[in-house]
Order: sequence, then structure tokens, then C-alpha cells
Amino acid sequence: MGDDFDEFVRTRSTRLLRVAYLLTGDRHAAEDLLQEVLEQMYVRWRRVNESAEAYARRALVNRSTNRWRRRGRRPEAPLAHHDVAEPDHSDDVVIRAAVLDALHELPPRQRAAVVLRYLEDLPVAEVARALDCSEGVVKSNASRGLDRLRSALTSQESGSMT
Amino acid sequence: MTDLDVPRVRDALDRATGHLDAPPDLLDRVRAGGRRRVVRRRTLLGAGLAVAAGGSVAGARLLRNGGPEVMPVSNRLDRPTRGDLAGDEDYLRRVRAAWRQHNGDELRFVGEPHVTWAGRTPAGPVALVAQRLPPRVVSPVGQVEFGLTGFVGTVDGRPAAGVTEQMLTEAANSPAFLAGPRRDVLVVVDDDRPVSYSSAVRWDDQGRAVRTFRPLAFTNGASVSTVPAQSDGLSIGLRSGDEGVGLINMGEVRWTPMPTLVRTLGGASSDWDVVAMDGYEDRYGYPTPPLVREWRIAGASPDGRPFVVQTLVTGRTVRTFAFVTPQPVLIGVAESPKRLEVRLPAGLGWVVAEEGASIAYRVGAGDWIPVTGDAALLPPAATQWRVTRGGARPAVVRLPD
Repeated sequence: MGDDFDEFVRTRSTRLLRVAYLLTGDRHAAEDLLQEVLEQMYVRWRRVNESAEAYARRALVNRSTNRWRRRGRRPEAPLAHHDVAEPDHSDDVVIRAAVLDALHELPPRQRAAVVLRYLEDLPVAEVARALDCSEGVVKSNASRGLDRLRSALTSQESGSMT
Repeated sequence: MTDLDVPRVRDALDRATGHLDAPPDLLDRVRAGGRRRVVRRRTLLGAGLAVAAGGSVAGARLLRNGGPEVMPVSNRLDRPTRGDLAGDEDYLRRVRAAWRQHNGDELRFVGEPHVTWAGRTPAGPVALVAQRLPPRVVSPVGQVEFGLTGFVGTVDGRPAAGVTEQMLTEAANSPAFLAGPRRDVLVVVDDDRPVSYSSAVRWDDQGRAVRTFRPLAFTNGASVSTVPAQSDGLSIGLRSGDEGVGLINMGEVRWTPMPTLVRTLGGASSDWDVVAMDGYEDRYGYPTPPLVREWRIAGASPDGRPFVVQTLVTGRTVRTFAFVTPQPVLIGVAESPKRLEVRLPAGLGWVVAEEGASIAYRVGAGDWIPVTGDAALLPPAATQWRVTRGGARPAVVRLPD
């Protein structure tokens, strides 16, 4: 335990935080989730360090869906209503709201498939390993999710032109 | 969706997250949290082994295809229903219905839900339920998930399921449940190990956790007792031998994450940490997140001597420790102190802090000397410090002689 763990956290945390943000829809929840996962990795570092990034992604997905399960089906935090109300009117904020709204509408594992496939740019096979499902399921989930995102982005563009 | 849409979606996802950077103190928080987990994990692993030895959860050898050679067995799944409502078929039917409704159709269960225990309590009937899932390896160390389990309490006169847990080989499921709206009825199901109960933790003169326990008596498969209300914070503790005992719905009690405030004050800092030392954690209580933020301030005096000031929060009770050697010194125990003020041993000076405040100090009637940040090491000769938050009037605090 030591420098290689510290190096992993320093170099990969921002990227992993962005994954967690899209999975949870809330910055604070994403930071908590990432911290939980990294603490778990700290304890198991000798076992997981050779595939640390894959392990982290898988743990983020599992924990984001298990949280929902463990909390006894309490409603999830409304995804789109946390980080969009910043005093900023840039295009990115509008896009963020549209993306979070669209992701919120997806079932958790479909959401995870879209995030890993298109934010992380992972091959289908690796997404399948992270989600513990077949490549066919990943393709189907990612395709449905993309449809939803495309519709949301198109609506947002139409809205911004009026 | 055409291929042409994919770059557009990728760009949107990038732009939706481009404002995020990992917090600068994340590594410190992770290392501190990781050290806590090492301590807790030792406890949990010990508990799991004790249960496995008692026959409550059996391990399973795995075939090459990942399926188990032997179906895991569990007292929760394979024993007849116990408890004074075990023969009440109408109640058991309503419990199973509540369980099914709670878990929906997302999980591919095998067979019917099994009521392990069902009994009357001062908070209405309570049941413990378990149901098989197709076995599959779910952890890096080869544990096999084979079921889901949880308690079904009574809400508005009807059975209502709450928190559920995975059932894993080589691990113990929580046998304890707090029932009732005030969380003042403790149900502990008998899983073949003795369990003792403590109502509250106290601290000895070095700041270490101390509890007094009494053994719980199991009758017809469970112990049911009335305890102080736990709805605003968990004070109770349970132990079996030297190990902690799981409380399944500890997370239903107020749960607001409060990240530690980590500050480094010049020079090389030390990693002295009471959390990593035996006795300071309340190992038989339940680690609810602090209701007041914890501090960890590390640094070195101008002549290079390292120090750490650290607070540990249990509910609203704050224990403050200082290190100038590897042995911590308890500075004090207080309820929700507004600010941190610690005279370091060995004449190193004062560590003062208030989250988000501007700080200045002075010696005698001298000028106020501002410091950088919301935490500072003041010289031993300092006599007052001044705290300013936002546009509020400054508060001047006199340092004891």
C-alpha cells in the first residue's frame, strides 16, 4: 500500500467522479459514492491493483444500484434538480440539465451502460464485464439509452432556438 | 440513432461533466476512511467466521463455470419458521406479500420467500424473511451470493418490508432490527451465537470507548426488548464474544454524510491517527455518520516538530485528541463545540480552527496578526484569537493562561 494507490487516486479520481455523477445525478452523492469505492479499494488494494480501474468502475455501478436496493426502494434523489440550478447560463449548463433529465428516465443498468459506453468510451465487451451481463444486453441497453439522450438533446436544441 | 449521433452524445456527456474535478482533499479522506475500514473489516470478518463455524452460513465450492458445486445452506432459508406467530398462516401470507411487493420483479428469485422468524413485539408483529437467488460469484475473493434477506415490520397496521441484505457465503447477515417509528424496539434473531446488549457508549479518561453489556435471552428464536429511542442517532451496541453484531436498519437512522475537514499547516505532516489505534472506535456500536464535521489538522511547528489534532464525532459528542508523539492525548469531550481550540502538548502552541472563518491572533495588546485559512497554529505566547465569518461581527476568544 502506498505510492501506487495514491497515484491511482490522484490520476483517475476526476474521471471516475464524472462517471459517478452521471450514475447518481448529484455531485455530493457522486463524491460520497467515489469515496466509498476508493476506501473499499484501499482495503483490498493488493488484490485489485492490477485491474484497479475496471474494479472501480464495476464497484461504482454496483454500489449505485445497490444503494437503491439497500434503501428499500426509497425514491432516488431527483437527478436533474441538483446541479443544474447554478447561477450560470452557459450552453453546458443547459446540456447538463438535458442529459441528467434523460439519464434519470433510464433504469439504473441502462443508465450505467450508456455512461460506460459513451462517456468512458469502453468497448462493449468491457462494459459487459462491468455490468456482469452479456454483450447483447449491453448493446440493447446502450441503444435504448442513446435514443433517449438523442431525443432529449434534440428537444433541448429545438427549445433553445425558439 | 445513427452512427452520426454518437459523437454528439459523447460530446454532450463530456460537457455535462466537464465542470467536475475531484476534491483536492479526496486522497486524505480516502486514506482516513480506508484505515477505519481496515479496523471495521477485521471485526466483520471475525463475525462472519464465527457464524460460519456455527453452521449458519456454509461456504460453497465453485465449478469452473462459476456455479456452486454445493448449494449454500443457511439457517435463514432451511429451518422451520420460529416465533410466537409461526403458526399464524394469515400473518405469514401477508408478510410474504409485503416482501414480494417490496422487491418487485427486478430480481430473479428461486422459490418462495421463507419466513425465518415471526413474532409479536411492542411495535407490532415483526418477521425475518429470506429468499434464494441463483448463486453467483459477486466479490473479488470469491464469495457467492445466494439469497436476499430482511425484516418485515409493521407500519400503519400492515406488514412493511425495509432494508434488505444480500446473503453471501463466508459472511454473516445482520440478526438485529430496530422496530417502531421511534426505533425503540430491538429484535435480535437467534443465529446460534450469544449476543450481549449495551444501551450507550461512554469514554474513559484517555478518550477510549467503554460499554457495559448484559446478555440477551433468546426465547423461541429471538430476543425482543424495549430500548431508548434510536430515531435521532444510534447509541446502542451489540456484541458476540469480541465481535460486533450487525443491525440491519442502522442506515434508516438519520444519515447525512459529513466529510472530514482536513487541513495541513506547513511543514511535513504526520499520519498519526486515533482511528487506526485499538480502543478509540466504538467497535460494538454502529458507526452513524457524524452530525458535526470531524477535523484532522496535521502539520509541524516552526522548529520542525510534527503534530496532529483530530476530532472524532459520535452523534454530537466530539472527542478532541492531539498528537505530538505517536501516543494521543485526550484534550476534551464536548457536545457540538462551535470551534476548535487546542493547546498542544510540549509547548508547541495553539491549534485553532472554525470552518470557513477568517482567523487572526495577537499577543497581549499587540496588533492583530491575520493567518491564512480557517485553521492555524498559533505561537505559545498568543493570548487571544479572533474569528470572522462572512459579514458577521468578529468574535474574540481569550486563550487560557
